[in-house]
Amino acid sequence: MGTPPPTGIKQILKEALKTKTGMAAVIILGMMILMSASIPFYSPVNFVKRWNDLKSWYEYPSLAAPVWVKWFTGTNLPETIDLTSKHFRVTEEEISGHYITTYTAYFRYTYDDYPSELKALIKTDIKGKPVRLNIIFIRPDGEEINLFNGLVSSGQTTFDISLDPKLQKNIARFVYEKTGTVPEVIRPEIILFSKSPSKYGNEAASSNVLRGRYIVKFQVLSDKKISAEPRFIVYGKVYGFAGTDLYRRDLWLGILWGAPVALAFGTVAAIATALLQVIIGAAGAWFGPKWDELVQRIADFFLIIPVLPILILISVIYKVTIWSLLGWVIVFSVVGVSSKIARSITFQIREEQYIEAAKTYGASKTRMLFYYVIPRIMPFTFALVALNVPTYIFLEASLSFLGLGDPELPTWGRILGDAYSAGALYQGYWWWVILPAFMIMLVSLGFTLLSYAFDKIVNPRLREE
Amino acid sequence: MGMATFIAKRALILTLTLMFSVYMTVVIANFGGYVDKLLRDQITFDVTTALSRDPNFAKLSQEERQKLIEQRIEAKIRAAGLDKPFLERSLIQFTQALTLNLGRAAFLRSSSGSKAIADIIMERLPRTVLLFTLGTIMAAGIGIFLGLVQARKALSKFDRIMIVLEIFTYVQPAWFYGILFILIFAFYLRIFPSGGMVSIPAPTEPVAYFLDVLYHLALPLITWIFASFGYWAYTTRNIVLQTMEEDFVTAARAKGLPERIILWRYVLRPSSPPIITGVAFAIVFSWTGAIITETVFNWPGIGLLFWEAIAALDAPVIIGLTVILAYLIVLTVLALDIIYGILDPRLRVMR
Repeated sequence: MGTPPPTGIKQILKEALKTKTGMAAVIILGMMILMSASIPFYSPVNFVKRWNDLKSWYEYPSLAAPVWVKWFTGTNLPETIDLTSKHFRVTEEEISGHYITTYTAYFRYTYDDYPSELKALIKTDIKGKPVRLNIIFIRPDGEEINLFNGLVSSGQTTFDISLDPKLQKNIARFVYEKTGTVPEVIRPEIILFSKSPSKYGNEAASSNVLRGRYIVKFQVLSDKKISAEPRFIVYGKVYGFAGTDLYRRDLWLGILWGAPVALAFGTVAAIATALLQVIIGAAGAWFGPKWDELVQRIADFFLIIPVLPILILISVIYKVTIWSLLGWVIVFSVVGVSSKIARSITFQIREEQYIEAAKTYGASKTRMLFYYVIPRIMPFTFALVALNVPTYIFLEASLSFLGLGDPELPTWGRILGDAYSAGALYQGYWWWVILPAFMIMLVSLGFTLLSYAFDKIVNPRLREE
Repeated sequence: MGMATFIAKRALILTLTLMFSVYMTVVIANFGGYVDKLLRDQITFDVTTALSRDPNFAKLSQEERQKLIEQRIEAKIRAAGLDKPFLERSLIQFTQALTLNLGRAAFLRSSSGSKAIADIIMERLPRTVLLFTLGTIMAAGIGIFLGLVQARKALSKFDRIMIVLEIFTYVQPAWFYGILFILIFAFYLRIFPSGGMVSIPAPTEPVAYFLDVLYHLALPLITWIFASFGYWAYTTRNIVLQTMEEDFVTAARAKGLPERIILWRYVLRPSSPPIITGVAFAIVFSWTGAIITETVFNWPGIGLLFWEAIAALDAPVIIGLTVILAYLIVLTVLALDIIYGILDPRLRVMR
């Protein structure tokens, strides 16, 4: 089998990089690290808090597929059109002491499908008395629908056009005037954007979408001059690179954030447990049979206890954070495969000449263990460490999937768990499942390749002739 | 060391391990006394509401009422054994668990309505054994076959690609494939049902019932095989390759024996004990029912029971399950120890 396997840590890393699998691993993992590093440019500072504050995501469409779905299906699926106050043109009229302020905005709708939801918002600065508000929706075919006519008080008022029964009644009246019948199910986002009046209210074919220039008017009537900030949101069916979840959260941000959390948790857990296991396994073999016996018995114990059920129990009781979970994981992995490897290698090393030499100049046993024995063992655990990173990432994901992981941090497992409990598997919200799953698989592929590259160098049975 | 001493020593060590892990489970499952507090609060609540509905109770003076409430609560707490300190109670539970006196569930029931934990577990166990034992045996069969093929073509392109594929598929847990497979095969392709063990309503005719269970079994079974065959293939490949480097195999080759005979007679026989040990362990451990996999597929076995017990904070059920599994594992370890102790005298000295 040619040259003996290299033993220095630097040497092994260098050799691993030379192999094809090693290169592939470095490319994949490098991408992940770049992704993690790009987060400060993408996401707001207090992202973790925002991720859990479901109210802060109201501008986003709910359950929107990724934008690139358009390219595959060939249909031009709608994106969100957000008409903020700067899109509205303001005109003022004064009629016998009353002020009518009209905010007008228009948008072009050229998509092949209906919007997913409609919402109107208005923010006024008036003190005390409520003012009269009139929201008018004008379609490209000239039809005018009065969405709302009533009083609003100061502050922010939100009109859930798609859900509010009061507004739906106005839309039903419009359908009745056109067709003489009242639809059984009123879906404003479909009715307002349908071409033919006979199909109002039906989930009609996308050929029935009315394309063109739509106008939205907010008319405020009051007895003094006021300023208001109107807003009209036409929610789309696609959003961003990874879509949104049921709670309107931008999944791409969650997936991005999952990368550093997973990498940090996996690598810290894998390296810490490997170090501990090697130290314990080597120390047992190094300090004599009594210690060895003790370590072996502890190993027997950890073989028998069911770790995952116990970790699940602990997370139910103590509500773990990612750091306390890391602690528990390390506690339950003090002995393991690496300690077995360490034990057998220590038995070999014990007899070697340089250990004898160290003994003669009077090095202490502990010093020899940490300076001469353990550094020799570590390279043999590299492959295992690399493989354990995804194992620990999946352990965290398993707990998060059950809803028992860190309650704050967005992790891939938690996104998958949210998707599962929202029934994404049975409703076909595939992007909510596939994309975080793909990320975990990519990371585990990276570490698998890395592990293989290490193994090939240390373990001659895998070396290519 | 004689055989008897060896077995006695191993049995003693395993018993101590068993006791330690059972006691740890008792403490954790009771949440270090947290469940006791919950039960006490429940009793207080029950007593107060029951008395407040009693018309005679309203006639009593404030002091008498207070006294009556306290008396009743104390009696109930004593009846439930909650007046003893947690340490004493945990030791009682510990001895009961060790003697397999599993007692009654706090909240859960079997589908026949029994609260006896033995009934609940016995109802679930066959389903888990059906899915996971079958799955483990099939995965091991496929994996061992693949591993042998790879060992014969060691370091070929096929071998190297398979190694990466095997490690990669094994690293991801079964539930992870489960959600992907449900999405693909149950939702999009509609080949398999998305979960459960029988259709609702279940067919009454035995043959139809059997076929219905098979239909529901297919997807979780495929998932389990897919998630674990890689481990068996990779392990088998390495063990067989290691044996192939032994001197007696080289000697057989030198004798000019055909490769087939070398593989079957000289390589497979010494390679099989570690593989069989692995399979035996995997089968026993599979009876923990892969909590998340059963949850994802809504397969009503031990794993799902575990999850239900944890979600309902049903400490007696959690303890019962862990104890039975700990016993099974310890007995398996002991049995394997004895078998190998007989087959391989070196072991008796090494341990």
